Amino acid sequence: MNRRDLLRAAGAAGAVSLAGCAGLFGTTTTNSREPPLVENRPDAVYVPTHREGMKPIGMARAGDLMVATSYSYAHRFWPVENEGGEYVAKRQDVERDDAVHLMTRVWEPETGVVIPDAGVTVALARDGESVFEEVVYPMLSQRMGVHYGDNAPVGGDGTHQLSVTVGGLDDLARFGAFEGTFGSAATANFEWTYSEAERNKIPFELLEEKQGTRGALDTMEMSMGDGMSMPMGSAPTPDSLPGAALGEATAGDLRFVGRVAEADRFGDDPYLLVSPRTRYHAYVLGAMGLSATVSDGKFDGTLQPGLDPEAGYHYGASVPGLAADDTVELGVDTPPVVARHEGYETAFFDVGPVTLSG
Amino acid sequence: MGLPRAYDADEGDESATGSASDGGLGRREFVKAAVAIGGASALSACLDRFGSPSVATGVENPGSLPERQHAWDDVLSRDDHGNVVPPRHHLLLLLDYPSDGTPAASDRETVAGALDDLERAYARGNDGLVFTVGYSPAYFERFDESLPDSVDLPAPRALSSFEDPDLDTPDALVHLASDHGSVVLAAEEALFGAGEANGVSVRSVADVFERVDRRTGFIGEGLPAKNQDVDGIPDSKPVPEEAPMFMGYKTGFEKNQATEDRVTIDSGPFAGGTTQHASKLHLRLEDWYGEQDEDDRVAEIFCPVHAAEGRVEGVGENLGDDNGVGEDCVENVEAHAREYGRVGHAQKAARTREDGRPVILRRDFDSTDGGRAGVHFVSLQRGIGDFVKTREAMNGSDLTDAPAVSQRVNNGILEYIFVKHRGNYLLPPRPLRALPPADPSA
Repeated sequence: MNRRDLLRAAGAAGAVSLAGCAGLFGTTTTNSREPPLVENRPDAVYVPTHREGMKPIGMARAGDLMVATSYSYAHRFWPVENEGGEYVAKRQDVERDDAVHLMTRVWEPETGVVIPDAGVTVALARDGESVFEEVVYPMLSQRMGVHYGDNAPVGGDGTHQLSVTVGGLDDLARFGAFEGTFGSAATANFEWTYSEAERNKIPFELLEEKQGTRGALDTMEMSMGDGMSMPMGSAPTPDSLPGAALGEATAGDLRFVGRVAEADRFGDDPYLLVSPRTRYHAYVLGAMGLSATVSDGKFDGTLQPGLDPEAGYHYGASVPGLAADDTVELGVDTPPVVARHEGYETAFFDVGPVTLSG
Repeated sequence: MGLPRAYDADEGDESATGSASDGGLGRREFVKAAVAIGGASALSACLDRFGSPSVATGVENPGSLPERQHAWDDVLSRDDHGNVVPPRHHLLLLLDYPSDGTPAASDRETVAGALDDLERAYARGNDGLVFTVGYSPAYFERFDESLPDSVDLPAPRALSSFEDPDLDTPDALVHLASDHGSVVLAAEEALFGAGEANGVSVRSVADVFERVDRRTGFIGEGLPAKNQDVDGIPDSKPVPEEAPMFMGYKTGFEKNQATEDRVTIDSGPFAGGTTQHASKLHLRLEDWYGEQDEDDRVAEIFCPVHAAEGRVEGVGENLGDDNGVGEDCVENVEAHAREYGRVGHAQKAARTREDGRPVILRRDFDSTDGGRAGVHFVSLQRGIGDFVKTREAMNGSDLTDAPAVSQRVNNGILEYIFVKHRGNYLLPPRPLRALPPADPSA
């Protein structure tokens, strides 16, 4: 049984509990306040002040997609907002009644393709009383990868009903087996027994030595059972993207991989496929404004986000006459409008333009 | 009739305060709570506390009333700007007609009689009572004939790619509204067997219909502020006293409502009727009031230019009879998405205007049913297609090319409203309002 088979089997079984978290590390256990931010943070991906674990809640189907939920301590994060015409990461601190940071990951179970910018709504009730219902943020975390999250109150210990509604993906061009799918909202339901004492067992470790240095914490591998790992939102390696290589470029801790995709599913004309990913973990980046200029006036315009079984989440456009030796310049018109966990909040704001080469 | 703005018809006097016996509720909370609880005991508690409001009785001959059930605007108050002032207390009764077969003539007579009696009991208007009765697609399924093509009444469905609502299938929906909570309650009690209302005897429909749900609410200055201690609204009590709705702004401006003419079915056997969409929304205003400042809210509910130019003062009283969402907002909606990173709710919806006006007539109101802040979005339109078109414009799914505008975030107010129920109804013209056949011309 390979990974895809397992993903499929897990999907067919419906709601199953997660087999546990392989990325545990044992040192200090605390629920105290976060330390102050690193002074003079680099404008780049950096090692945050601390590392924390998480606890799984469960995994369940929402229509054709899989949803996994987990939680950790409530912590500061940075939604990206437009302020006076400029995109900035705006720090959001833990509020008084926030008990946890609730996380949701959404992927297509046959392929493991993670969806980074769906509209995800999380509703939490305790004994039938609503305690939280929000459109949660698409987020990026070094340890937790591509997910959706928000701090939330829980209303105390007890049995909670958690529902996650994943909005239809009509905004995304979908190719191949994904064409015509994921069009309408679907909901996954979980039962979650929460206790503050259990939460407080989640590991928490200060990183006084390494904090603030350029780099990133390891991804927390999460097992789905039988040694299989949950997809964390890393883009395929460049070799496994469809089509012929157009070159690569790196800038601002982002790596852009370009391909000329000519498979039928991309349309009659060659398809300029750009797969941006983060340095270190190759996480895909949703909700970014990306434009391209192709040599000889072949194309000058905005790339649209798309979802492909092989390429995963990417940006692209049909470009008549596009060939592997064309020069492609990319511009980041809008940085990824994705909320950031600590260590990402200063990165990806000042990128490009870049030219694909090699 | 132009009631002054300060007119307050929530029962009794403004200074009435809570007492130990009613849990310390203020007057507006008390009346709202009584409407929400319903029943004879709530009604009598209301009347014990405030006395029976002195409300004029209705017409001798209900047959003389307008053919359009939804012809409310002529009898409702207007504010200083000419905007219709909706009644302050509302009740939606979802009713089942238990028989699977076509309605018996005797049941029709009973319903027709009861509705006529209500119109004899109360003068129509804010100070009295206004009501409508509608029938669902599920109701019409019992007939061999289908509804005529002149009626656009599909079964309810999800109207965005991000909602997953329950689809309501009662047979009928009664919408009762008055400035007096006790009138709404007494009308309900009378329909279900109290025998009288306002001193006028009223026949009962209790043997014809079963109540399967009741949804309650309110609209108007003061009521949202007084009733904001519910789930979905931050504990800081951010809703301003002057706000007619929880989100803090005036709605239903005269120029931003369809006319009753525009929403009236204009041909076929149901000419003079209209269609009604009734959805139930939860409001989650923690971030609306917590993370956003006033400019953010104005930009998202009206249009980013309204915030940039300071067009809205307070709850928007200064806007007069028009929300000011003009061509500059409508034509530039895509540019605003890129420039401001957000678009306005009214700005998106305005894209469906015809001859400068919307094609739906809002009769919505706020709610605290179940202890949660919500909205019962009741809307009238000639056909349900007009509502669908308006809702699709509001979805703004064509505007998400701008990376900051996503399916629900920075996309008007979609982040804060959660659709839980949708239902569609036909409000037949008055002569057909009692258990109508699907095809009256057959």
